[in-house]
Amino acid sequence: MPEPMSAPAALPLWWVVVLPFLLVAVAAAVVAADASLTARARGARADVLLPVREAGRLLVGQRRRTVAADSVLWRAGGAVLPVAAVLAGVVLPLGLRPVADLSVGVVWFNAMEVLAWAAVWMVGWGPNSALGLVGGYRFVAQGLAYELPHMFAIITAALGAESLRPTDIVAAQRGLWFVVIMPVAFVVYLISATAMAFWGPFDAPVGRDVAGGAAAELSGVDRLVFAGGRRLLLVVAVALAVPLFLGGGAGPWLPAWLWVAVKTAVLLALVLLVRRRFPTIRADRFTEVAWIVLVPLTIVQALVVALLVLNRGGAG
Amino acid sequence: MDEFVPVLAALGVVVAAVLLLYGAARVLAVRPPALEIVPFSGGLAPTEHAFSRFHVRWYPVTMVFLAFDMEMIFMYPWTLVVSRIGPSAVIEMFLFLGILLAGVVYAWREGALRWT
Amino acid sequence: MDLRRLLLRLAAARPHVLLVALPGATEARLAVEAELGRRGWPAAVSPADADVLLVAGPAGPALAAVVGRVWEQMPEPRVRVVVEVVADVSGTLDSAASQLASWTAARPEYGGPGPREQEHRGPEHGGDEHGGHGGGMEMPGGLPMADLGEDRDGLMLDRLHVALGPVLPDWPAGLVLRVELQGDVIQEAEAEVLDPGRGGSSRGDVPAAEDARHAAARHLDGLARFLGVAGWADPAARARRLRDDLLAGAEPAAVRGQVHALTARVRRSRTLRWLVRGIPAGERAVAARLADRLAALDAAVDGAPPAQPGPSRPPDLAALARAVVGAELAAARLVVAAVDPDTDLVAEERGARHA
Repeated sequence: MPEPMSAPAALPLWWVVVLPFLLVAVAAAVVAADASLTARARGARADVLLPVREAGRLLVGQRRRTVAADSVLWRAGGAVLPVAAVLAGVVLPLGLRPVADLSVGVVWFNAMEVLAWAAVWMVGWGPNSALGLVGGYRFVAQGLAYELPHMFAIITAALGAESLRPTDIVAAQRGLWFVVIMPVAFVVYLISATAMAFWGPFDAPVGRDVAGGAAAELSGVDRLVFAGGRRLLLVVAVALAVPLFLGGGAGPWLPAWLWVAVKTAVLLALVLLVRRRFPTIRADRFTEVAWIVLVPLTIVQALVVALLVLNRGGAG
Repeated sequence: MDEFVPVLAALGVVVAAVLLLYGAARVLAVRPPALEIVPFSGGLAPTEHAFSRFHVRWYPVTMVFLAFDMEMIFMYPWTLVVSRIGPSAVIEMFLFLGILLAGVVYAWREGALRWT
Repeated sequence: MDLRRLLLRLAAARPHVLLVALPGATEARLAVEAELGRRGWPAAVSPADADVLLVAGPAGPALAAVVGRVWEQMPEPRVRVVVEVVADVSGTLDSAASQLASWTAARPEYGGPGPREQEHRGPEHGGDEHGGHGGGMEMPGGLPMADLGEDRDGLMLDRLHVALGPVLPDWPAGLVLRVELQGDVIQEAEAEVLDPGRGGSSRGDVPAAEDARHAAARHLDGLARFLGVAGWADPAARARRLRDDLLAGAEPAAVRGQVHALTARVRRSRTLRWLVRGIPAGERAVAARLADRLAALDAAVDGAPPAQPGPSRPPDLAALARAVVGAELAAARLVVAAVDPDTDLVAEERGARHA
């Protein structure tokens, strides 16, 4: 077993109140940055207040319920997204320490992420709408493609540290960031994190071709919770790549929390730019690639890391 | 189990935040929810309920996925003991993965991963 | 309430506009899209997401009913406006925004029908037509459930009847595709154009002998819509911007470099090729039709003489319906966008069914 931690490594409990606001602020910055890129392509002016305008618009907007809707599943599905995103976010080291320092942190993170699967399907099914139904099922198919490469990528990082605790994984990268010995896992992690947040180019479940798909019938605060939850999920999923592969808060001169912020911002910017470079990748094409290319690649990557771990164990 | 205290607290906070948001919207929304809205598919009225048995043509993928998903349950704890158990742990795990991969290749050749 | 007023004002600076394009009124649609692009106002993809319902052109009886239904589906605050004269666009949008900014619940609904509760909710066709397994049971909303039917693998599965269009993003004006879905595969399709032949003119202000500028603008518009359906928003926005520049009077030679950069980017994309590969769309596949469009666009800005002007033929709706049978919904949307039927040219009521 790994040695017991010497000191409590979690942040003070009041951070559970700060964390959601912190994540919402980052998500709002993502929305603003993305919209300004969109405006530039179209030749319009960027607008810093945009996240506020959009949130305000949905807060004053009327909610609606469709004929014979399955309201329980529909509303629960929307609310699950932000809840799952924040609960996954508790294991993120914000600097040196996370809000909750779980010994099974990465498993917890994975478990929370997977809730998105159910959530999007429920939101698509709920309104009794044909386009919503198609969108919901698109996400299930997409999940079957991205989920395994995603888990293998996470497990590879855990294997490199021989721990499921994110702070241990960061500590294990003191000498060498994991991105160096597991570049494939890093790239696959980012691809699958984007797919999990059904962010472009994996946005078919809420695609324009099906008039918003799973989200087609959402208005008012229901839409705010769903759309906000999706951005939170994107932020949290991308942010975990920092402790898993980029050494967490390690770096010269700056304090750890600032390094975490800088690295997360760089990864989020990368994700936003990638979305502009690719058309929507549909699950009916992606599934084959995921299973025949990404799964074997991540398994080979895990094997390489396992051999490195054996070698290290033998030497030490 | 102490380490889960912040998790439970976070659950409480975020659930409360979502409820608060709904409460705020209840006060701020210009009108109470509209009921009995016809679902949208382009502007014509639906002729049937959309709730139906959706033909999931990728169901073979779900079967292959389940096999791997079970495997994950073994792999998480396995990461903790690799160097303690030594080479046999690595050999056994990747032999197992290899067998599963052979199944994936078979499913692929049978066309299970393509449905269009 | 002050906070509500503040939020309404903040939101009204960027309302989401659901644009209903009508056959024969392409000019109005282009003018509206150009103005929305300049303002950076997003185009809503569904009524649930819309603040402004903008009807571009005069609606015939069938489309007026569609507009009424979409209006009913929109959440409040909402404003409905009609653009018939192109010069009006900016003023119309301004007035819509100011109505949203000063929206109060007491405001009588602009041009809306009576209260929602009084609207007739019955199915459009009799419930017996599809006679589902509801038996004699009263189904909620007066709608039947989907009925069983054999799928392409010979399994008995639910067949859901859905009318796609005419109000969908990047969708030909007035087109309705009545499809039978199993899962998201189209088993049967029927295409028609609502209220056809009302505009008289062909697409846009395009004269019979089309000059290079309008040819380029038309191809840029088609390309933008295709890329929009393919989910590639960035080059789609660039194509729209170039189209608007051309229609605002830019010389094709002046935008040649940008157009070539755009077509080269689309051609270079291995991902797009992979995504549109192997999707048949009638006589030419989707990928081939896209290549045709890119080549025609390049030729138009290079000043090549436009291809044989020839008499414009109305689109073959029966062939379109045939082309989407067996396709997934996503592929069917690509097919429609690649074929890009010019619904302005459909002269009379016509429909086509394919089983």
